[in-house]
Amino acid sequence: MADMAMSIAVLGVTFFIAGYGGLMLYIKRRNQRLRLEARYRVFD
Amino acid sequence: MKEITVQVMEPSGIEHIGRAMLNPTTGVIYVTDGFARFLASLDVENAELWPTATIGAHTVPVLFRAVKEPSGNGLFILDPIVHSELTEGRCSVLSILGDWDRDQWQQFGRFSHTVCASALIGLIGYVHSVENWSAGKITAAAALASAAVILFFIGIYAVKGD
Repeated sequence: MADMAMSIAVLGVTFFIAGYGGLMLYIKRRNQRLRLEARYRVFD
Repeated sequence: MKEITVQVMEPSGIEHIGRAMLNPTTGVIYVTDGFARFLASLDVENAELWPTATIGAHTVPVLFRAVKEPSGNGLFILDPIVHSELTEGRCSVLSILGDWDRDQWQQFGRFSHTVCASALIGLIGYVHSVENWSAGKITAAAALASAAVILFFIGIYAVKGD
């Protein structure tokens, strides 16, 4: 039981870090896309 | 009114920088008379110039749009999408939680590698301390090994810092 709890905790922390990094990556890509779109609208 | 910096880049790469005032509610940007006269000499309507504004930590594109008002003549206007993000506060929330800069990505990469090393050291200690292996203990060891591998690659990606 303790082993299982440890496994879940370790994987939980790992996927939390991975998920947070993924969310930041998504926001970065989204902002890049918005800025690029806004840049092209300047020349419209 | 908020004090900002306006940059105008020419296709050749030459950049002209001037201080300006932003009206946060309307999105109109007022530049100094001298800077406005200088930009007028560049033929802003026809030349392919890329104007941007630096507001706090953000550099955003702006549009050339002469606005005549009793309080003064604005030369630029914020892009509507950027303006809505600024006025609704989404930009400031994202600047805290997201939109990391180069240093923040590097620190995140280092943090991931530190946790990766902890998982690896924990795995070695755990493996050497177990006397009777069972399915649960193998799962715990496998979880530590998986965490070390996943965090190693997350760190490798993030530590590039771009």
